[in-house]
Amino acid sequence: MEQSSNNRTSLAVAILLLIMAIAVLVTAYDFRGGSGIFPRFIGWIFVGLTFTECLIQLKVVLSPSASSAFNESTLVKNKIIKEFQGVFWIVFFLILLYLTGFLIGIPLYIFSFLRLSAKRTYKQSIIMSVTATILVYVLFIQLLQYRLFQGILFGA
Amino acid sequence: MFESLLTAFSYLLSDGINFIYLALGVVVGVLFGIIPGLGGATAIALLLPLTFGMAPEQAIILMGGVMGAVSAGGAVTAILLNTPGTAPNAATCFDGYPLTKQGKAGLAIGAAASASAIGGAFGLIILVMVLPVAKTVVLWFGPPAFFMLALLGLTSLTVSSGNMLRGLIAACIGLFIGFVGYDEIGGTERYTGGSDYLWDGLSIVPVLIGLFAIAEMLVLFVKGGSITEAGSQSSIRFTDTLQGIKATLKNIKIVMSGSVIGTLIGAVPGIGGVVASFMSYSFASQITKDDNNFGKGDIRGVIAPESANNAKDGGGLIPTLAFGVPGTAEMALFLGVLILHGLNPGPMLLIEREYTIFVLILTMLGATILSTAFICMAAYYLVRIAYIDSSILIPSVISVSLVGAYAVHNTIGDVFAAAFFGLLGYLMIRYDYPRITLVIALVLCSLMERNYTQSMIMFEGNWTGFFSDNTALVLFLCSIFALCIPLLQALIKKRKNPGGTIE
Repeated sequence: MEQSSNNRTSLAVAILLLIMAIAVLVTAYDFRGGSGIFPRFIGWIFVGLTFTECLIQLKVVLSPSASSAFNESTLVKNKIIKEFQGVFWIVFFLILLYLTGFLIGIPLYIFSFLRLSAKRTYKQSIIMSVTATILVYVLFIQLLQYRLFQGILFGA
Repeated sequence: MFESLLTAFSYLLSDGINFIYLALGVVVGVLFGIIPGLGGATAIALLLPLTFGMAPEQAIILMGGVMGAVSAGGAVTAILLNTPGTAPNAATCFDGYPLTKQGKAGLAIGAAASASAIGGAFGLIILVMVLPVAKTVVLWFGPPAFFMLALLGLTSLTVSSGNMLRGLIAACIGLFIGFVGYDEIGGTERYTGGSDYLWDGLSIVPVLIGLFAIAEMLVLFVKGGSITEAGSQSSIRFTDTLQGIKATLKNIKIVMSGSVIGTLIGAVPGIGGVVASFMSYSFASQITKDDNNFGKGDIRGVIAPESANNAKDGGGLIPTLAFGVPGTAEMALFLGVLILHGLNPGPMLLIEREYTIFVLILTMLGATILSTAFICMAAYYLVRIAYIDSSILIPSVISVSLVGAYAVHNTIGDVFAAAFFGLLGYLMIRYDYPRITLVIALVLCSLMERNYTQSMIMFEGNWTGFFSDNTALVLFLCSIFALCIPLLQALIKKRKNPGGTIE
């Protein structure tokens, strides 16, 4: 059942890639002068390859062995939920960084992640987030003299 | 020449401060190699002001220490965290990280460090031998040969990736990512979507950080636990590192082929260490017949790129010292250090200050040995990273990686780019598209396009001109051969087992 789900998503990925290949090829025809020669050449190869991949995946999906009823197992659902959670934490960190910069964003992110996702104690979460921030501060700001991004809320 | 060598040697031993400068350079080099996003160029730039009051030779000792050590340091994070410390260490991730997952991080670090040392020494020996005839060697490679060299790297790596069709698709994606930005030849913006950030194209470091570090942290988040489930912290032994050194010595052919590739590619300005290590990796993958486990944790997949990575420094010094043409950003900065101290690179430098060149060569040799010893000793403690629980490791690695991505150009766009490529990398792992071919295509893109265009201008639009260049023709035939290898392997299998079918 998990295999059936994988086959369908692999076909969806192949179709998506084919659409992307067509889009970049069409765009390459708008480039002036010599700028489009190489992208057009590679673009046609890209379309051909993704089309072949689509055919292969379609054949796999349509084959009798893969036509069993599509019913996602709990295992697959849990994996997908975990994947969305993983993406959520990265997006959350990016938003924090953009708003508050590195020196505030890093401790907030690490603390939230450890408390809410890893279910660590307050003590562990605070120690980890403060240690990581001090490390970044000492290494990048004090020793290497970098000006780290301060976030749009603090004048960046 | 021997007189200059002896003078340089006695100069190095004449004052204890020389050794302190060398040790400082090595420590800074290893640390800057380990921290993703920094690397040798940053280390040289930051140490440059320190050299103002030094004698030229002392400045060279400090910088030589950095250059000799940075590559070896970069391998550590590539192996332990799948995060290349410097861009040329990216190829080390492909087998180094799977070895860490199998609980063999010590073995991988020992092999990487020793391969680096041998490769580095080899590159420097070649430098000494080739300097008098360097010009001829570099001139073998015109635009058609460069294009074919890049094509060979791409095709051989695609073949060795296991899934040729998906490997080629990933290579196309890599090339299109490489097209992003302002094209100087045609004067057109390509695939920027009007974004100012994309005007200069995507920087390689955030892309690598995303594809490897962030993508792997996502995998670890979904999987849970620690990087390795094999063994425990109590099972870590110092002898693991020694086993790695033994593995390097056992695979001396791979070390030598990597060193030759690294030295040759390093000597060609503009190609850089990334191409050298990837070429060496794909070449080793092609020539390995017995138990080829490349991409899944083959120690030879660590030895090959690391030997090339360090050997390229010796090769890179050939055009830098002989013609004043730096091959990489690191070499360009080093050139700046030489000029700052009144040394003008070129043939006259080789004649007038030969012993200064030998000071540099001996320093870099010392740095490769010192950094190897330093890393081997530290490996016993470093491999414990692989046993840290993912809930601690993930936020720490993602935070430091994104700071590293930002530090390259001080732009927040690089942070978003790293995150984007992290998601792309995860999807590629999930749907079995090799990331290796995407990265090599991205690295080779500008080289391929520039040399393709130059060649077509040279041949007045007639593509058959590629075959009139002997070096290009040989490299083209090698590419065709690389593409035919899976077919040949299947045919050989069929002959051995007549009842079977060709896959």
